Amino acid sequence: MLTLLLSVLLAQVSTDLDAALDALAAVKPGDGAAYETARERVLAFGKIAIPALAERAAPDRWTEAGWVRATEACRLRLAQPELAEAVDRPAGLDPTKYRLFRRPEPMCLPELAHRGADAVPLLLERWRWTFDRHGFSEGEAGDREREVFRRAILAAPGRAADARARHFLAETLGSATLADGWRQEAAVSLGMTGGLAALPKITAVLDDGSQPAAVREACARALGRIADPAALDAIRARIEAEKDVQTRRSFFDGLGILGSAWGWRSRGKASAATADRVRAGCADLLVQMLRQAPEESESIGRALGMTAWPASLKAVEALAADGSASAEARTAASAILPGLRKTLSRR
Amino acid sequence: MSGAPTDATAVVSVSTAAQSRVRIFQNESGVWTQVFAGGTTFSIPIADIIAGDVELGIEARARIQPAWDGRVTLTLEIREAGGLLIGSDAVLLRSAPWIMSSNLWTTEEACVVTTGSPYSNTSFRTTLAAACTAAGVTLVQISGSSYNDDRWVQDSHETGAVYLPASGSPRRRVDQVLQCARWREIDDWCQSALFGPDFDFVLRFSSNSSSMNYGGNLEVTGPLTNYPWGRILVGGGTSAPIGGGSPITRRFIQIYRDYLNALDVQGPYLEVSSEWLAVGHVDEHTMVVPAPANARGWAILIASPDLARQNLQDVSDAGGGSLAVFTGRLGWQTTVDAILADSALMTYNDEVQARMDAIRLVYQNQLGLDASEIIDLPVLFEDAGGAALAYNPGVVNMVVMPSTNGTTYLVIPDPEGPDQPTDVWREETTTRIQALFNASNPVSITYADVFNSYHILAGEAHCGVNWVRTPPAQDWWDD
Repeated sequence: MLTLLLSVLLAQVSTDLDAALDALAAVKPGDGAAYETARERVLAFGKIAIPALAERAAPDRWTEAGWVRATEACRLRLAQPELAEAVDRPAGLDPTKYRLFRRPEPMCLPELAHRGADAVPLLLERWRWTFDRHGFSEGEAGDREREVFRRAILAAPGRAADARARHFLAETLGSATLADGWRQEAAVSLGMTGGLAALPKITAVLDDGSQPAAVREACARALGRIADPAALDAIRARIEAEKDVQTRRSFFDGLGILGSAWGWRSRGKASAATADRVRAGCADLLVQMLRQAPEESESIGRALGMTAWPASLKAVEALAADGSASAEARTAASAILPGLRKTLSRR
Repeated sequence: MSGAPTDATAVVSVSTAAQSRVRIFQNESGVWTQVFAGGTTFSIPIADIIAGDVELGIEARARIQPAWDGRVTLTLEIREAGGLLIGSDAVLLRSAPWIMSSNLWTTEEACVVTTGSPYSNTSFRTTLAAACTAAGVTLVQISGSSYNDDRWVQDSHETGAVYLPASGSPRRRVDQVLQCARWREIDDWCQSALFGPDFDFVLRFSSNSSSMNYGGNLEVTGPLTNYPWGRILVGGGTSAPIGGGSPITRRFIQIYRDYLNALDVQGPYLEVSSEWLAVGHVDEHTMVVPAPANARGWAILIASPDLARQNLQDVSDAGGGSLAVFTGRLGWQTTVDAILADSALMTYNDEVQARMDAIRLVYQNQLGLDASEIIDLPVLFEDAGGAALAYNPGVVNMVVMPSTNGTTYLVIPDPEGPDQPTDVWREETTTRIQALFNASNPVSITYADVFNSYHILAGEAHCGVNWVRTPPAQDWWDD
């Protein structure tokens, strides 16, 4: 009898929770007051609701249509109230605190990024529903705080490599009405979170000549964040034909990031074979571009240093001595050799 | 010119840039009479010249500034009544320049701001006070409550000295403060406390308040060939942020850089890339320290992400991957393997290392340093939102206090690395620094807790301290 009563009770709780969650999800984006009211109804279920919330917020439920699960934000608020408090009120957005910084400007990415992936649902909840509920300062200071917070929300998923945020980031990147700076952040963060699935989203914007140059160049860099040979292929297919100087330079930056020796090391031994293939490919392409674009030797040299691919030293030495190369290319190759030697000797 | 005709004229011309900036007096039987206060020339009665030596005194009415490097050329021409030149001479004088104090100079006084909750620096001050006591350095503790807890006293001003020759007596030393264009609370302290007899003060001369203009963005090397007073290092540049994007220009404001070059003694300044850092200061990645074991007597310490990572990799390889880093720091504590597996952080530091390699080459090529005189110390960086900050408390950003007892006292930010069995970042730092010293001139190293009091506020130990130091015995006019 008791078991039956309990199961009936739990079923009722589940139904009520679903209703509360439906009401929460139905709140219009930006309607922070309504959202907070609806959220309180969910949170009123208390910690007993945590398992049910976790089930309803599984990673596969994060979709293009539902790119933030309020359910997960609620679960975190019940399970980790200290985390929620920290994410809700970053010290770096509080003028009484950031005026104490060595540079007295708002800055909150480090403290949010250090919270890891658990901070991401709370940040996306903030972006979609409650952004303006934060107590920003008046005037220009408030504008700076808002901009720093927006950019941190966009960048934090990338720092945490949280794939759940990929749909949010893709939508932001694709939204022509949003600020270029936000779309730039979204592009890079998408590259860090989206894996191969991000590649077509990024190249679609990159290949669209009507997109702002600033957004396209960020996409060129973002390709370097996709740790896969396909990203190298995507850069290789576009770099020579690229007309915009900054976008081409960003391809060089992307190659350095994609080929980053320590970046690949961080991915573990299982990716060693891919690492070698990608690093070698990045280094080869960089040396090839050094021959063609010696005026970019600073960017290319830095990228080669990041790749730290041993064979690149001989390739650059050969270019420096290659009589068939232009004088500019030989000079550029000679200029980057000391730094490259230093990097390779250290490693 | 005792043989000059009695109808001759003696005219002294004053070099152009100095004409509105000096006054000249003539000693007439013990009474100094002004003979020049502007214009282009002044005359000396020929009778005075015929009678013997003429004693002139000169006073600078303006400081050295971008438009005037403090040099004055006085040219005396004596002409017959008909205008024929019968004698001339010229003398070059110079207003005594400010010489920026160096980390190699003996420390007399240190100052630090006391700060309370929530970012209290009590622990740091206790450590600093002990080092000062051992070094015989007077520690001035400034009440932060009077200055809104603005703790960055390193940034408010640069100390230095002006030496004046004095005939028949020791040179005169005037300490001098260069106030930085910063416009924050603790600037008022140095303005009120450091101005007094034989303590001069150059007020900030720009309304710009960019963090690039702060004192932490100025350092000076030790003596170099052709630069016996070293060269001033200024952070700044025009490169892209870490991770790429359009280049940005962030530099110490031009008028201050022009001023530093006008001083001449430690210039031209050398600009070192720091624009990719959130605060943007050279002291975030570079520190000059005494190195008595080196032939040159000093060395440069630079931040090395590669070294920091390698230290962690060694710990992990030895089975310590789960060891804590930033132990007990809420919201920050992590593990060795978590850091090493953080692709975003590792890639970021690959690029920072590439920047540091370029900076190392600048020191080698522009200052003539050997690679062995540039010492790597373990510091990782992270993205603070388009610019870099030290990820671990930056050990390069340290307090350097050479003392009269021959020991150099260093107060270094505790990097809070993994213990295997002791903090590997500390051990690496200590080992590398100790190699620069010897038994006659040893080093005393203390690690200070700066995590909450400075580090998470985007600074470290050096940023929170300033000094009055003893200039070396050499005279700048001999160089």
